[in-house]
Amino acid sequence: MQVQYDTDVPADETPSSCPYCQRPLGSEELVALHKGLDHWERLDDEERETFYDAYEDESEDLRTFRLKMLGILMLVYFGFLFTYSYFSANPFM
Amino acid sequence: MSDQSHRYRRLAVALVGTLLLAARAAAHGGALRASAGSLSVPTWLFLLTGGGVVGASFLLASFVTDRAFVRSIHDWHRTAAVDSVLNVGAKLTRALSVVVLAGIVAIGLFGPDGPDAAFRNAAILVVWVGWWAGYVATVYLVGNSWPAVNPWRAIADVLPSFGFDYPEKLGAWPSVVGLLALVWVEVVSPLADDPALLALVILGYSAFTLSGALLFGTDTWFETVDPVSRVFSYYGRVAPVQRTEEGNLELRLPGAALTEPKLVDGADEVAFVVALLWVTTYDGLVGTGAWETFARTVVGAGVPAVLLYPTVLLVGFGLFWGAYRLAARYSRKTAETYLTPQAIGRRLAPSLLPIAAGYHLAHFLGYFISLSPVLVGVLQNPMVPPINPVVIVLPAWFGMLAVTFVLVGHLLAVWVAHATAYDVFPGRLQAVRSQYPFVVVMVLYTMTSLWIVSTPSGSPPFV
Ligand SMILES: [Zn+2]
Repeated sequence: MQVQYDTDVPADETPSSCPYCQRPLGSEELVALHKGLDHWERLDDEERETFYDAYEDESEDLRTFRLKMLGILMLVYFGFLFTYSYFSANPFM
Repeated sequence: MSDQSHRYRRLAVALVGTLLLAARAAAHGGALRASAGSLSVPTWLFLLTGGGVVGASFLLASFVTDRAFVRSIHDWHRTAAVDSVLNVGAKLTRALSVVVLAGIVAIGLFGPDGPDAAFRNAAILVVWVGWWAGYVATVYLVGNSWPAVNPWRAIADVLPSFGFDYPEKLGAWPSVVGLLALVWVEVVSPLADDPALLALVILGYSAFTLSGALLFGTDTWFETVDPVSRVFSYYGRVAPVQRTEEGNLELRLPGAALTEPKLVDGADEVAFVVALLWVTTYDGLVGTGAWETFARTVVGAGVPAVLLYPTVLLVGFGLFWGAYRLAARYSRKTAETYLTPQAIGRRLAPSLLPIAAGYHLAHFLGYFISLSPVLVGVLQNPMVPPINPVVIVLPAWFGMLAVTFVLVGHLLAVWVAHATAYDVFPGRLQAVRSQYPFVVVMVLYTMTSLWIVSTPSGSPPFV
């Protein structure tokens, strides 16, 4: 089922938008992804190829992103570990 | 809640907090000062841990970036064609529910009364223990059976309808006002101690809701205006058993039905979901010792006691709603999307429902279990109930469950929001970024709820 979303484009911006449902999107990559996800049946071979490429590119970015998230997780984990060992081993508490 | 159970709860709370993130600290479990009823770690650290768990679960969810996988989890279902069986069952339960309603009112008015009415009057026990603690839990744990059980709907269905047009522009707003009003009445009046008053409130509600259904038609009334039915229909969406449009039953994973696009449609319905979240918090908040101190100080400073409860109810709702709207506005920025903040807010509002459900369970499961033998005993002979009812004393580890339920509700909320964002935004990174402001709000909210379930209880003054 196709969901229609309320959108609001600032007056000074002319974003790319989906040719099928006119949803405005921030970039050509997002348009390609959106078309592939929401209008797959209507795409020709070339458009489907564009979708796969955009999805691959995005997966590349996601790998970097996940590394950063992993870093933050470790920080959180050790932050708590040290805080806990300090506060629960303190005999004067 | 007794002081004893609260002490257990704090002890358990401390244990969970310790176990969750730091195995080493658990080895120093002897440091728990159980006799003083204090946490083994400072309260701020316990609260921070809860917030940290929710934040970390968001980070973990952001690792799940396979669209097909996310969709397969949310699309998984098994359908059972039980239409005819269900309809016969529904007819029976409806007739029964009207009898039960009449019985509750009769026993409330003419049954046992006195200082121990809360343990001896079947009307009070059925409403608070059976219905509000027990039945509500089945709605979000199993499925929403309220449309089949609702006695007012059963009565309204046989009454004629005037068929007035419901003013569309009012939308769900009357139900928001109704929910806040019901919780206000529940908090400021001794509805859990005074059976006759409870019966009168039920009669008043019946008169109101039946005339509404009479004026606007049963469906419009119970699907749009009646706050009780709306609470159940939203809670029911958290549950694994759903009713399909064809009337069949569908088994899904808990929370999976919350990602559907049209579940919350409009600012009025967002306000209702936020109100539901807020009233569960408010209900817990006024039972804390900190609230008692606060209320006495404020009234001591000259603020009229009558104004205190409704003002805090409205201000708190305003704060919760404002925080949610602000998160939706920031989400538009972090996701770099052209969707309006309202559209984002509508779509993500259902992810708040598991939080409300988890908090309800944390708050009421212990109460339900300890008082259920009393309920059973009283039901066997409502007019002459047992003198010394049996109350189950909960084991020490039970408080740990309460904390777990709060956390599980939040974890489910984080997951539902993640899956919803994947549905809304074409970019996967964009979907994760859209969650930043909501996660901040959820972390703050977890810390608030954990503070409420772990802080010493008091009794609400001036009511
Ligand atoms: Zn489109």
